[in-house]
Amino acid sequence: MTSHKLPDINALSKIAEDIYNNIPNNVKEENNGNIIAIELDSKEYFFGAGKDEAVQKAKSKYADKLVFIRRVGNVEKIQQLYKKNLKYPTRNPIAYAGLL
Amino acid sequence: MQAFFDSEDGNPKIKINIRGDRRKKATTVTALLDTGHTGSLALPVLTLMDVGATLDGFGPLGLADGSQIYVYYFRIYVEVDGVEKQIQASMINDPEIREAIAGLELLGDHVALIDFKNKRISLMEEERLRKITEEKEENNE
Repeated sequence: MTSHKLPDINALSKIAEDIYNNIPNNVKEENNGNIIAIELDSKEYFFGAGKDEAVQKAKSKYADKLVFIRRVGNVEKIQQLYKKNLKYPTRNPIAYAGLL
Repeated sequence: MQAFFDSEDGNPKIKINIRGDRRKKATTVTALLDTGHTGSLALPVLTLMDVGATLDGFGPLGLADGSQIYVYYFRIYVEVDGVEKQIQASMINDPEIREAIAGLELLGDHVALIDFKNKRISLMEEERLRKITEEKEENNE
């Protein structure tokens, strides 16, 4: 860090959430569950399957700008879907015991 | 990445090598393994300053009590199984907290085997676990 003074996160977050809320619903629905990275000055946004992917896309164009990072959609619904689709690597979990 | 139960507080933890991009300095941090944390890695502010991490962004973070806060994200590099990768680590705002927290996103490619009875933890990539398990099942048939 070059400076110990960080930007006002609450003020920035309000601006960022406003930009996010103005993104068309069809764009959000297409990217539901993905991560969005928004550059605040240009209001340009980038999607990725994970936080790191979305931020790297944004930083490749706006290297020195702060980006707003959040998951697209309703987080509770996404968590329920994730739990429902959890897959285990074997049919026999008891086999794990011998691996420890 | 070494996983273990801390004998002092009994919690599962991992040791990870990290570095920032502003300094060459790398350091090893011990992080609480928190399966309730959906982020990748949360680091104390002093650790972020020490390694020279770059502020990349900010965003909302859901807490275990259902509330939401906004946190800063810093670019750091972590070494996982000998491979260095760039991640976004959230900053722990409370300067009194000195311990890092490792969440599910950091270990997304891994399977954690936690033996609470014997206080042992094993972390391995899912593909490697699948191969070992299949070999064991074949040997048992």
